[in-house]
Amino acid sequence: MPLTRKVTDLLVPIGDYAVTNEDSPLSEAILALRKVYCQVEVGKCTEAGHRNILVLDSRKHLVGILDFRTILRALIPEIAGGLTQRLEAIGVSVAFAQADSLDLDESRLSFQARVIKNADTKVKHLMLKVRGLIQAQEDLLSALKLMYANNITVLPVYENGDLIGVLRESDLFLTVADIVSN
Amino acid sequence: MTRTGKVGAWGLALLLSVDILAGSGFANEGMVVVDNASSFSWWIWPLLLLVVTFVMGVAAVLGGVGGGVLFVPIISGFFPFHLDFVRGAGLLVALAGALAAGPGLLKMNLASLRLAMPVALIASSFAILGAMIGLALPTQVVQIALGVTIIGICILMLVAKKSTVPNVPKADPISSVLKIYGVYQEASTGEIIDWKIHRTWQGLILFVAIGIMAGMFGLGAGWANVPVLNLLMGAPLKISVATSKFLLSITDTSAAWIYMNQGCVIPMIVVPSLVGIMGGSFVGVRLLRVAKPGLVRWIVIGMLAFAGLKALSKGLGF
Repeated sequence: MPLTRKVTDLLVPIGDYAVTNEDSPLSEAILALRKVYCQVEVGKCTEAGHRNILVLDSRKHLVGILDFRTILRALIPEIAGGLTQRLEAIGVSVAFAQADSLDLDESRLSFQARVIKNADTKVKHLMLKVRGLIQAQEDLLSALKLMYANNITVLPVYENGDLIGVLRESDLFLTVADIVSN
Repeated sequence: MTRTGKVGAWGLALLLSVDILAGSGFANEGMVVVDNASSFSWWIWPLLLLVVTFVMGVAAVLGGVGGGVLFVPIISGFFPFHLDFVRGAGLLVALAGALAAGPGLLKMNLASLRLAMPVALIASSFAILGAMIGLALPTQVVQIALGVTIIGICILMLVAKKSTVPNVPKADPISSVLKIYGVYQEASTGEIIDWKIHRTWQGLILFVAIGIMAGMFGLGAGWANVPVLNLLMGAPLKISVATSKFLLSITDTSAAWIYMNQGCVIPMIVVPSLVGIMGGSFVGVRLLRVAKPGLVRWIVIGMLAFAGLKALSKGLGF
């Protein structure tokens, strides 16, 4: 039964995953994630790698996760952000317009310049908090339940108090798909 | 005439027509909220308010002035509402704009909390006092003072200069103790700018007057905050603009409570005004991307001066 297998059988080792520091700028995290997700150095990106990057603190403890959506929301808040972020972006423009200081309004920079500027934001100001973790010896069904209970797509896996890897929703999907195919 | 010029001209025409409507033979004396009650249905006023404040919101953004500073003189001058209600609504209009911008300005590290807090403490305390004075004084006296202030604001708008990064040779002792200094990155050049301020006590004294005026007239106070923070205290223009907007959210809240407590904030005036001016501001910002606002600024200054004279004439009983 595939789902009675242990988490340790399916996890992605931490060494294979993209990691960044919470004090690093977002630009560094983006480049690290792109490297793992898409092997652009060796040619066309044909195989999708990991879609998240783990955020560690100075003691190498896992403190957060960044995913594509969070990154895009930070880079282009006026488009990818929620209503609040969009209103804030317009509100800032209104503030500078009403002070007759239009030229100081950063949101009037070109799209590219805004993206580059927003990429300077520190990772710790954007990262998603880690919600839930699992021990390596637990079974995959427990992992699946935990993922859906916490509405997350990646689950950090610990063994003897150390982070040893990550279990992804996509791996669990493939495991469940095996049941169907068999 | 440019597109933005047309917007300003239409705004002026709209105000004049409201004035004619309010002051014509349609009006009667005798109501508390509405000075000259009209024979029109009640809903005509909120509707007109919505339309006028929408145009006002567009004009405020294009003309480079705060919504609050346009709202009070124009609405009190051209609409048949009692001044107390207009001032209460004016504070909420200024407050709404400040609250919309505040979080973004803080996130962008442009609004400085260290600069805002001592100033806000003084300005908001005196805004409460100003609101109390404003409600205690006879309406005519407040109207005259409002007229004088508005004409003063017009002069300030015409003559005040700005300094992007003022030269502050040495931080003064008060600002050093309060740790009012900071760093920001200029987005256009990537330059890291260290800033500090001086003449702190002189600035704080001026914020006493600014607080009183903000509370008394319900004007918002960006027109005064920015020159004091920038030209007198030496904060960079960008920090001054952002901190000023953030300051309004504290100062105006304090004064707004006094008006609210006295029953001077009525939804019938506040709701259409807020919706209109916020909607207008958001449209104005979009328009700014395609239009140059040169002429509109002059029209707005002219409109303000006219409203100031109107307030003076109302107060003096002409």
